[in-house]
Formats: sequence, C-alpha cells, structure tokens
Amino acid sequence: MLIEVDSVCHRYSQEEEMVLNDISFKIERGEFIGLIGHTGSGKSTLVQLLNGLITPTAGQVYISGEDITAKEINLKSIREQVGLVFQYPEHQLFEETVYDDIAFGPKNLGLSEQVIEERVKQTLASVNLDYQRFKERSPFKLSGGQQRRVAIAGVLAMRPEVLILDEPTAGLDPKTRNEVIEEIVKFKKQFNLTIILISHRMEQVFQLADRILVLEQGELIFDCTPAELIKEQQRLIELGLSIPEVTKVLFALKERGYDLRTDLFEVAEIKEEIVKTLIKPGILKS
Amino acid sequence: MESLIELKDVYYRYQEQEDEDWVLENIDLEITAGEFIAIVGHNGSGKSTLAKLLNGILLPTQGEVRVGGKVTTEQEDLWQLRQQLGIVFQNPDNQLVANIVEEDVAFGPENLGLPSAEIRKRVDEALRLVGMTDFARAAPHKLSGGQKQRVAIAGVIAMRPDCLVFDEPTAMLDPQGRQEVVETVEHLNRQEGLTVIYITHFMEEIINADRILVFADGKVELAATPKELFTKVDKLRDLALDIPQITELAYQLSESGLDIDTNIFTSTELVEELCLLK
Repeated sequence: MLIEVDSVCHRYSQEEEMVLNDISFKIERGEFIGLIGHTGSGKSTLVQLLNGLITPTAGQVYISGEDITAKEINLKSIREQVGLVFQYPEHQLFEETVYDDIAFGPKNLGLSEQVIEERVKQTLASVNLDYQRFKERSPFKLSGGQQRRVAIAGVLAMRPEVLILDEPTAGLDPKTRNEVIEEIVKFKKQFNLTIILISHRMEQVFQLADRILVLEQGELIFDCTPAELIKEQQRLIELGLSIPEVTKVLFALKERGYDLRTDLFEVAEIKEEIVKTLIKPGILKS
Repeated sequence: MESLIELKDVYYRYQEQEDEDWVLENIDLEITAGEFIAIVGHNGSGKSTLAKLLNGILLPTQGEVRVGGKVTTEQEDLWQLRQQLGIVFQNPDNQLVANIVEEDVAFGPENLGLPSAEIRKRVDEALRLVGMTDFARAAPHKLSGGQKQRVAIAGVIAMRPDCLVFDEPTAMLDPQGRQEVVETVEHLNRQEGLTVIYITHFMEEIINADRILVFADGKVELAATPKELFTKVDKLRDLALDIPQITELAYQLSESGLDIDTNIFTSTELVEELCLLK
C-alpha cells in the first residue's frame, strides 16, 4: 500500500473545531484519485498531512509503510516521495530562468549537474515546453499557462511517486486547461505516478479519477468509484457538489421511463447511450 | 438610446513594448445603460486590459474611452468616472480591507466624505442587494469564497455606480460560490438596472447575457447573443472556447440524426427536446 491514512483527526488549535474528523483511507500505487468537497471541507489540510507539512492532531499517515507522523521521521525523504502542487503554483516561481527554477528542487537533493539537466529536460518535455526555447527565459515573462507548467515541472523534477495537484487548471482558459489535463494524463503514465487531484470541476474528476473521495465538514463521506458515486446524485446535489450536467440528462430520461445507463460522464459515451435508447422504440429512423 | 460606455478606435500596448503587437487593436464598442455584456477569450486576448481601460487604470495608446460622456484621459473627471464604473476582480481576498464586513463595505463611501447616516443607508442597501445582510458583523476571513466575493461586490455597489465590471469573479470559487456570484450579478442587472460587463471563461455563466463579445488576439473576433454564439459549435472549437457540455451533447445528438434544437444550455432543456421526439 502506497498511502494509508488511519483514523486521522486534525485541528489547528485547541479552541477550534476539528478540521478533519476520523479520516481513514488507502491509496494504491498507480491510482488516480479525485478529491472533492467545498471550500473549507478540509481538502487542503488533508493533502498537507500527506506530505508532512502538517502533523495530525491524532492518527497515523503511512507512506510506503512508513509512519510519517512519527517524531524521528525524515521529512525530506517524504517530500521527495509526495510532491504537492499548490493552487496557483506560479506564484511561487522565483528563479531568474526557467532552468534554475525547475532545477531548484533536484539541486537540494544533491544530485549531479548532469542528472539535474536530464531531469529539467525531461520534465519540460512532459509539460510540452521546448527545452531550448524556454530554459533561459525568465519565468516571470511567460504566459499564465506556461508559468503554470513550469511550476508543475518543478515538482515533477523531484520524481515523486505521488503527485498531488490542487486545482491545477483554476484560472486557465479552456484551451490551456484541456492541454494541461492531457499532460497530466500523459506524465502520470510516463512516470507511473499516483495522482491525487483536487478539483471543483465535476466533469473533470468524474472523467479522470479511478476513485473519488468526498470530504464534507472534515468527514470523509464517500470513498468510491465515479460510477458508484453518481448513484448518490441526490446527496451530492444536497451538498452543493452537483454532478456533471450531461449525466443529469441520463437520470432525467431514466425518470421518464427510459431504460438506460446513468453511470456515464463523457459526452461521446452519453450520446451513444441516448441514441441507442431512442433507436429502440423507433424514434430514430436510421 | 444613448451609450453609457463608448470605445472609439481604441488601440493599446504597454509603453515599454513598442515593437510588440497591440494588446488591443481597433476596438469600437458601444454599451447601452442596462445591458449585460459578457466578454470571453483566451488568456492574453486582451480582456483584462479592456477592463482596466474602462476606468482609466490604463489609458489608450490611441483612440478614446468614454464612460457617461466623460473621457478617461481627463484627469479631473477620473474620480467621478470611477464612482460611476466599479470593478470586481478575481481574488476576493485582495479586495477586502476591513475586519468586519460592514466596515469593509463602508470603506468606499467613507472616502467620499458622506454623512454617516448616508453611509449607513448605503451599506445596508448594498449588503441587502448581495444577500449578505445577516453577515454584516461577521469577519470577512470566516466567510466562504462566494460570500467574500459578494461582500466585495457590495463594496463596489455602495459607491452607487451605473456600471459594474467583473474580471473573472468566479475563477477562484467552488461551484456553489460561483452560483451565488452569478445569481447576484444577474439580480443586479435585471432588478436594479445596473449595466454589467462580465469577463469569464465559464460559458454557462453567461447564457443570460444580452451580448457576448469574443476576444482573440486583441480584437473583437465575434459579437453575438448567447443563442447565436452557442449554436456555432464549430466556430467555438476553432477559437478553442468552452462549449457548455450540454450544448456539445445536443450538437452531437443532432449530428447523429436526432431532430433536436441545438440551442440548448441546460440538461432540463435537452431532456424536454428529447421527449418531444416521441
């Protein structure tokens, strides 16, 4: 088991309420996990626990079997294993060149120049930026989408096993957003990464994730596949989390007596299902 | 009817970048009082620059921007012009200054030197209009993203502007927060008659706009009503703009031979259309 969270509770101070309450789950290597919940539901606190930025008030977090809440733990090695890309990570770019910014983490690992250069090259390629064209450029003079990619590359260059992405496409335009998502899917495969994606975009999470964790007021209320979670649509809507708009069409048709699947999230699949269903009663001539 | 906002042959580029392309090029635009104008386009297409030109944070390199008849280059009018046209930005945390909601909303009117009874009246009214009356005494940092953004909107409304410009006001919010802000904006436009200029990447937020302007490479590439624009699915794809997923689904269904209207933005509308096929 790559990640195991066992009965974790957390609060920031004695006087305050629990931000996380008795959270337990496991994540296996290679999984793509979606983490959803309102602002303030505890998502950010939870992911910070996973790479040791915060120590939980109670409970244990194991990464590759190692209890990272233990006092003698080497946090540096944990952060090598679990990379965290914060919201708007481009705000944390600081070096004079793209190369130096991405090389910053690997340098701190004490790697040789040659290995560092190799990593910078490889990670820039992973986020679709040309090495020769970008290495000497100032990160501050790039477009928003390019800055976002450089920031992600900086974390990727640490070669983590787990990559946590907190709203990686927030504020990007639709074209760049789709490109960044494609890059994530691609480099997940390339580096055999385990991914935890926090996103408010339900259609994104439902399409990409193998499993979805739902946090509500510090409690883990669902831990299941997208297909299982979609069955809880009523509850999700009550929670203000909604479900993908296109999936709602399937539910509405089912309610009106059509016999069709409701656990689909992609436009093309949903189209097929609707066409198939409507052809049967002979509504479609073809 | 007379235009509230008028841009005549506006060009803009940053001073230090004289050799580079125009950020905005040849913009001619008239906006009538009470309109709801949406602006979409890539990052870097010039949308935010336009917002800053409207209240004189930036001045056009060529051409002229007028709000309520006043030119933005006229330094003496600028103060009044900014009262008339308020801007709400992306990040609510950067816009809230006080420790208590109502003090934050009062900040602008206080700077106008208004009598305290008038300030009280404006603050109460502004909070009511954004549905935040119950939070008047709350601390802004305890609020959700959507609530914070509504307080930021109240702060602008308390200046009694004619026009509100929103520059991606929901980019940092969760779906519920987005919904709250969109409803507030629509309410202010419809019930209170405020002119709205709304910049966003989220197409589903602007299905009720009067006009949508699509910016590309510093120019107005396309101007259309939502109904006109969203049926141009191929064109939207070319411009790499978001197509509401429902509209995309309706389009694909009609491509597959189903005889349905593709002018559809919500799941309810699509289901109605599909059931009409019987």
